[in-house]
Amino acid sequence: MARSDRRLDLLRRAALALCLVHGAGCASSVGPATAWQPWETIEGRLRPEVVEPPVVYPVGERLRVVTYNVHYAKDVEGIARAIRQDPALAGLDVMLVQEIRSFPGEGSSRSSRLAAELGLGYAYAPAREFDDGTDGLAIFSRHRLENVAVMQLPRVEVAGSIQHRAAMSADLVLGSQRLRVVNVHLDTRLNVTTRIEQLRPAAIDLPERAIVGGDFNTNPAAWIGNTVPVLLPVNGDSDQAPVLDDYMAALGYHCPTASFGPTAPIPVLQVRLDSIYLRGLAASGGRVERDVDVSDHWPVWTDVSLERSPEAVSAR
Amino acid sequence: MAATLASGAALADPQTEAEAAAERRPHAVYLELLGKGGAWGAGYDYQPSAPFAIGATVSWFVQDAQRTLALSPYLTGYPLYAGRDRLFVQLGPQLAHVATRSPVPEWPGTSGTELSGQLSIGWERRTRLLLRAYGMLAYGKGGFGPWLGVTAGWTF
Repeated sequence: MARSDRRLDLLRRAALALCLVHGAGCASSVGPATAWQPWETIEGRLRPEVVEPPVVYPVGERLRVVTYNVHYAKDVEGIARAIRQDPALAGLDVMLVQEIRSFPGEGSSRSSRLAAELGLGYAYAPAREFDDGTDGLAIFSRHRLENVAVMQLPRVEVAGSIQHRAAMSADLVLGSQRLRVVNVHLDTRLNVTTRIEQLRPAAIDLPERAIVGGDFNTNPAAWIGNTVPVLLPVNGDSDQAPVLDDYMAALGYHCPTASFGPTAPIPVLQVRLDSIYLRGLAASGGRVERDVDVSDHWPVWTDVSLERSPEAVSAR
Repeated sequence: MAATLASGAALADPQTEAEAAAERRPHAVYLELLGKGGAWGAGYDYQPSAPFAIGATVSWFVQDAQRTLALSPYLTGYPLYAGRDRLFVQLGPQLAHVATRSPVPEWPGTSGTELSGQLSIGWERRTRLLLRAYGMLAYGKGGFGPWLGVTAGWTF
């Protein structure tokens, strides 16, 4: 190693030590987001797939909304079986899925196979290329999806690399109504303020009635240089999830799934990685389906009333 | 060197020279890596008698726009010791103030002060130098959190 490289390495180590003691000057650099890009205008390997439901389902008074990180969905049939066999999930209307992949060698995307197994329509939005395939987000729905769009979220350097993180949005067609749904998957090793900055472009300019759900990766650690976790001693009291709830409340959202407990089977820690936020909508019931163990997350659901929520609207 | 149970009648066992020396140096100041403060801490403890000590650790931690100030008083017990080496158990509350400054204009940020509990179990070597390594469990309103810490300091 050249002398200048050694000096640079020493300086980096000193900076990390300084961050450990006092994080001044260690704020993450957050890049810009793209605008929402209509799916039809995206070309190449990241072009989304949008497929209508095979049958027309009636629109009820409530909408069962699920968010589920499927951890690449290697076993599509197993996931479909687990959903069909769970009484609550079997009645889902909309499912926001994160970490689902597609490989050309499998013949069709995992999203298309999962949708076929469940008898749903879907939109798959690749966030990034992975090997010869893609990795991304999907929305599965009993109802038609319109205006599907994808946003590349602000990029943050995490552990020396930058991953492409995306959000996808769609309008659910519910008879004459349209309801905007946004599905997000945020970086893991972010402090809560950087997490807010990464989420913000996808949540801030939505219609008065909207659903934002997904894997927000809210965790109880502080991340030094977005790399080294420090589990703050106050644990739940310093958890990122309630801070993100507070930010979303400032935008008029409430989080009916906030009290449901941990959403991933992580030993000892009680971590709420996944949430569903509603604006202008009321929710009733729901839970985390911890018997569904085909991923490294559990599915989370709530029932959304299609009546307007006065409390949520007045909170804006 | 046989380990001695430092409870009840077991205290009748003769104290070693090192233990007596430790009693003559009942004060300690130390720095912690990780530990009760999360990332780091500084503390003081006082050992009025061989099997017990009291102390406190303070920590000030800033990461991005989130600041944590934590005060962790504790009571230490030494259920086992062998010369200069001891098994210790520390139990105490933690008062933590966490303030999150907003990075965006539409949100004012948030702050709160919370009380939680901490239980630490570890090894201590106490001579002129104080060395500790331990595992701990914190309990806050969000549940349990495991953590660990390493301490180095001076006794006097």
